[in-house]
Amino acid sequence: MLITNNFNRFFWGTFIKDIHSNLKVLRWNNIDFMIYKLDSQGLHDLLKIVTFNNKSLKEMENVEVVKYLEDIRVLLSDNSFTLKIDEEEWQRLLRSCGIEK
Amino acid sequence: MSSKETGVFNILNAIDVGNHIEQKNGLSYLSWAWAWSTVKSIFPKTTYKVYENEQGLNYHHDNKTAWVKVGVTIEDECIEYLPVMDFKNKSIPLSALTSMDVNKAIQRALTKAIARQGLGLYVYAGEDLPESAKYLNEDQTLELESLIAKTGTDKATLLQYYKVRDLKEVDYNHCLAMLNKKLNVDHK
Repeated sequence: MLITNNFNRFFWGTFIKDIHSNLKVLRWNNIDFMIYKLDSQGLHDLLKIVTFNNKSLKEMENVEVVKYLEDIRVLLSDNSFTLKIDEEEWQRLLRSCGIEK
Repeated sequence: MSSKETGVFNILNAIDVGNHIEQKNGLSYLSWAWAWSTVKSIFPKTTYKVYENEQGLNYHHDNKTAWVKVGVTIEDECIEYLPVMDFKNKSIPLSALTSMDVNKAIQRALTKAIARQGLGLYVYAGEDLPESAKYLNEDQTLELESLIAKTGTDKATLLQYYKVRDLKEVDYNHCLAMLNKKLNVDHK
């Protein structure tokens, strides 16, 4: 997908930042990842691994980006973690980034 | 070091191995089976290799003692050499070596090679286990309090950084190293 400033703001500034700042441990496959030991890029790398996504954001189609983000939300939900942005805001942000469902 | 290598190391190094440490003769060990299954579940293409000597034996020797050589490849290969040792961690003379001793050394070398890739490296570095439920003792807390004061660090920001409510819950070794570094920089 085309990485716009809007998307960068949403992905790094809101999405990743929220997880990085507020989630201490991410459990996946009975493995506990200490999120505070990772930087933002490391967290993104980890999220790609645990969602079985081996493409970079640039290589992904819009629909793949949406699926990637949704997979992360499910994983976070399994970890009893809810992103601060609510559903309405989530949809608005996705639209503003041109990655509507 | 490439960014890919850094990525592998950082991800493996961020794994909490606290619940998988085994104690033996006062030393901490990581279960080789757990370490291997963990690495394979995150990086399925990981391979390992036990290097044989020129005679095709799975250990190397200098006619006195023996050692094993094991490599683990994720993005790049990390090789670990480990002496074949007894339960007291003393090298076993070549004449007394058994295949069981070699097998144990290979398993330990495999775990250490995985640690070089990042998983549980702090166990071998002698660091404390960063279990979230593990609290610092009074002396450790006072030491950090003192360094916080000396370096003029904002305690609230520090607690926020570690995502904890109390200083007793921080990763002691990490915090100590960070504050000491800051103290040294300030003095320079």
